[in-house]
Amino acid sequence: MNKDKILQVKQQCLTALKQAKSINDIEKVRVKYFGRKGIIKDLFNQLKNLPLEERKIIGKLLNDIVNEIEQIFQQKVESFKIKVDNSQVRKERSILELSLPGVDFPLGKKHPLQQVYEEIIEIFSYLGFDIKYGPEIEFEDYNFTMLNIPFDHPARDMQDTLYLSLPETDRGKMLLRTHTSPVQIRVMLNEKPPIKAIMPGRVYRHENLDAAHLFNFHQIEGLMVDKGVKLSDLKGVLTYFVRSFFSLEIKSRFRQSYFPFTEPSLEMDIQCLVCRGNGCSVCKNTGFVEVLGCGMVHPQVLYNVGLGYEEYTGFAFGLGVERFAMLKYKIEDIRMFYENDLRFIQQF
Amino acid sequence: MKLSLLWLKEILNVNNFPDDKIIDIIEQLGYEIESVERKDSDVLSKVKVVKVVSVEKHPNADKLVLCKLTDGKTENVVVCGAPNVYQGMLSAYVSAGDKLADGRIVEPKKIRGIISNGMLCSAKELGLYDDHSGILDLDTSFVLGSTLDRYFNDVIIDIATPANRYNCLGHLGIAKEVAIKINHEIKTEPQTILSFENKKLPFFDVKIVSTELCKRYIAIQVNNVNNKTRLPFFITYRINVLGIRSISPLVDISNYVMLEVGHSVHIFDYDKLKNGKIIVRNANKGETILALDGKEYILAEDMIVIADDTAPVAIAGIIGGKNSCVDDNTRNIVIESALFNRSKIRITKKQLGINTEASYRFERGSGWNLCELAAIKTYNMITKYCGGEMCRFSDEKDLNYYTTLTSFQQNGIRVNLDFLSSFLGFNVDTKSFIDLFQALGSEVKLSSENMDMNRVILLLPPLDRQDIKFQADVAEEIARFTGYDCIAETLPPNVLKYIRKNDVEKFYNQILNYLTAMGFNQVINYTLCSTKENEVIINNEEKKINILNPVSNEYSELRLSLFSSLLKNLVLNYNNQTEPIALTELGKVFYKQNAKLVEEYQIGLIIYGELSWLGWKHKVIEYDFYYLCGVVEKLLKTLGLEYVKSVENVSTQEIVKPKLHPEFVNSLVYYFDVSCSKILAQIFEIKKEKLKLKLPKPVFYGEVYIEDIKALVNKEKAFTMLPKYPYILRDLCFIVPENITYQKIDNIISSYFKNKNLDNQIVLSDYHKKENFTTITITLKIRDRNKTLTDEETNCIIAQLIDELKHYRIQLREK
Repeated sequence: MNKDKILQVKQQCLTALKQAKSINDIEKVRVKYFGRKGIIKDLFNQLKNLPLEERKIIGKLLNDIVNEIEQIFQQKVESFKIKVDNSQVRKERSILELSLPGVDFPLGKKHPLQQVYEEIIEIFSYLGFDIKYGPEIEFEDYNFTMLNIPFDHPARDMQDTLYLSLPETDRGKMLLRTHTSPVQIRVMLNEKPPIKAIMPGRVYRHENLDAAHLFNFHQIEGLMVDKGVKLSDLKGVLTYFVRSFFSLEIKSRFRQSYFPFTEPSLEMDIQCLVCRGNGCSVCKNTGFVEVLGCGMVHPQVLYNVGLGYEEYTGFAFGLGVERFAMLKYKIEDIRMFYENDLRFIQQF
Repeated sequence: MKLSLLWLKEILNVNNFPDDKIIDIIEQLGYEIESVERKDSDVLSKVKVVKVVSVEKHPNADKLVLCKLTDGKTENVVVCGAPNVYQGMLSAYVSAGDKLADGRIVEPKKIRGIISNGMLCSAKELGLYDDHSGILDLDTSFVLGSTLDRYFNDVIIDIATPANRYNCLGHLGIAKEVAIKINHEIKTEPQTILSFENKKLPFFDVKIVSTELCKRYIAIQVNNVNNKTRLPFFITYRINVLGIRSISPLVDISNYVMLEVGHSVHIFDYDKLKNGKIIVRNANKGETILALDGKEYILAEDMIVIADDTAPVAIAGIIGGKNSCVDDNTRNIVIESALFNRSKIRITKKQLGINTEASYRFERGSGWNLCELAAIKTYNMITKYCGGEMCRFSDEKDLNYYTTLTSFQQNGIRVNLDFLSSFLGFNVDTKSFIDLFQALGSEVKLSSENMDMNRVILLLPPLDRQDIKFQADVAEEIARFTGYDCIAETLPPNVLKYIRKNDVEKFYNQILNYLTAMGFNQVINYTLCSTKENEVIINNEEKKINILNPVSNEYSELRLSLFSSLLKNLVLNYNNQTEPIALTELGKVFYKQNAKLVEEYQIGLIIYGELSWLGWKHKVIEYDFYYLCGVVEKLLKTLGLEYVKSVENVSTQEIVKPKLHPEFVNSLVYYFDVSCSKILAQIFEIKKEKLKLKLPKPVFYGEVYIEDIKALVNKEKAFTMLPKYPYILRDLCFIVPENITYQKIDNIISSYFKNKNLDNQIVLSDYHKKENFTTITITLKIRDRNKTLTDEETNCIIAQLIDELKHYRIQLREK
């Protein structure tokens, strides 16, 4: 008996283990090597015949090998146990063809405009805005006059506004509201400040249908009126909003604009989502796209609802739901939203 | 509106100021930059100013000439075909080997046997502006031998101008604002019309029929002008590069002044005006005018025209007439500078479909002083370049209007700088405030000697800034000149007394979530429809609301029902091979109810096709009437509502809602209670043939009146004790006469148990329709809330029920 002999035995044992194909095979190997009359047992028995010095060295070697082989034994046994379990379960359930398709429930989706709408109002709810509603059939006075839109303003033309065949009232002609701003008037006439609300709804314009225009679309109006409302509040709220809606990293900017019912009036741009601000055809090489109009409530509008300017100030904004959905989902033709092709709706 | 930066820089007197910086400033000031076009300096740096020394006929071609050119040092000969070449002319020369604006390389070429070494170029070939009618005809301000990039290193920008800012519709207005931003002063010599009045010339005969049409009309008659002269090249360049074609010196000058001052002037040939007078009046209905664009326009009464004694000679503020226009032989002219009613200009322009530089400006309004300045500038330029002398003058004005303009200016605006500081979110200091507004031409009245003590200031804005009326307008000017980037971002406080999820949104969300989970896809349709689409509704004529000015017949009415839109969606999806189809819309319908206008949200549901989701198990479920009933019934249950079904319209009051005509549908109605006064929902079987639908499978439609339902839903939910005792089950088979509906049997049984105070569930477990009767099997679950029912008790209860049903000729079927 020597070192070579021991290593040879180890090698034979491992080979036998490797070839074992079942728990039974492993058991056979175990008996052959580790059984009471097994080869390894025999090697231990022979130890006593060696000189002391050699006995120490060979004995240690033998112990190490036994430990190593036992570990491999355990792993091998475990691996067989798992295999055995699986095959038994399969035998029990063999009546089912498990790979057949699952029940194909009909898929129901909310319209993409609804999804975007819900997302927008949720963000403004976090910011502490209430929700208010107003009618789509509106008085000329609320839609225009009270909002400081002069009588000769182009928006009032028959070419821009859809009027209804209804008798004129003491609050002017009846029309389909051209923006959600008249809801501002309704809210301010009914409630005292503090007012902090968004006002969603459908609006109408006298437009022929094309890829960029519809005669009806959806807007969300925002209004905050209280003592000490600042221009910086408007910037803060809207920046918070576009970050929440698009992404934290998105850059935005404010530009001077003109609306009769706000002063100062601004437009908000966000970094172009297509080129990420590098310039492309969508943003006309400016790196920015316009997303909404806003401003500080015009003093005349506040006077019209009986609120004193300087004592009260406020901000207002209006955004198009379709516009936000188009930017978010990269849709180029606005008419798609109203075709209601399920192949379109189910994408979102 | 297009601007030349070269021109702006000349007014500003800052030749070396970077173009990009100016563009940035213009944008910050609130003018959206729509495009930027840079002149190609690579091309222009190779183009030389040359003199045409001699012009000789080409020996082999009639239309070509040989030109000998000099740049002061070297001479070249080119073959030229331009009609405007002449001896002594200064023009632009590109030598062989150099590039033109379109990228072509000029090569030495033999043209009809003669070698042409380089070429003389048109403005288009050099990329200056779009004119290829002849070669450049430069004036003596161009130095022989110098290259053109020195003169035309220009950037053309197109900007959007706000609708309320008529003071910025020319280079001068924009330059003034840029000057403030870069702390630079523009030197302008004060010019007023006073010097003209002082000449005591005879009046020119101007008659303004109504001040509503025109607030001011300045007419200057100039005699003995020369309209064949050559204007300096910078005028030609500037108007052309900004998109206006050269016509003649007089017209070019008027356009030049418009681009500079921002106010449009017009020039008439005096000798073409009948009786030498001008009348500003409304057009007569049907009156026509042949305009300068060569088209004849038929005018309407609300349009303003300039007329002589016999006919219109111009459409005011929009376009001149051919009959009065200046031509080569014009000697005597009338310069018009006027303030026209801007909304009339806008409407006229829209009705006639004419867009001119003049109408662009007039529809935005025009300033009292700008009107005057434009008149003076035009007169000065004409006498400078075309000669002539003023012989008659008139300045007709509406003094009432002028008084209102100035009274506002005199009263001034009380500005509280502390308020503005907190409103804007940054400190507005007194000195920079005063500096800004003085630079804008305002007067500032202070109350204290100590500058910084003046926190409440009286501001008198300039006459031509009628847009500054309130403190808010003042705030905008400050913000605009400070830059919006400088304003901080803050979040306002939570000021509302409480915030909770909005009831309406919560309710609609709950419904949409349920319906989408049931496999319905939400659609959103236009709320406008055609007359035909509303015709499915009973009495639609009385109920519907029409659009007075519809975009088209297809969208001329507000919809009375969601049905037509949903049916349209169904057909589209069917044609796109989508099946099965289950659609829902949460949308508004609009109708008249007596004198009231109603707009209310409804839910529409439409289904079509086979739900093959158990197809491989050979269990196909169809989208049918009962499927839709199930969806609606479970929806009502979800919302916590009880209902009563009826196949007949048993409503105690007329249903006021728009109702689908029975010609097209069979309907089932869900009522809130047995009084049948409140209708919750309806389910319809669609008669396809009547609607001429080419769909192979049946269509079912439902309406849920959710606004009414919302009012009925009990928001306060409370717990009821769970039952302690079990249900007893019984199966019963009946033979039912033909005239009795299942609903009736259900009602009889449930009210029977209700009277006995027993919980019950009735399940229809089998149904067979025979020739004149039906057989049904009902599985009953009965429970007493106070004890377990014994077999005997149950038998007794059932026996009584069977007796009760016998009254209705419903017989128990023996097995």
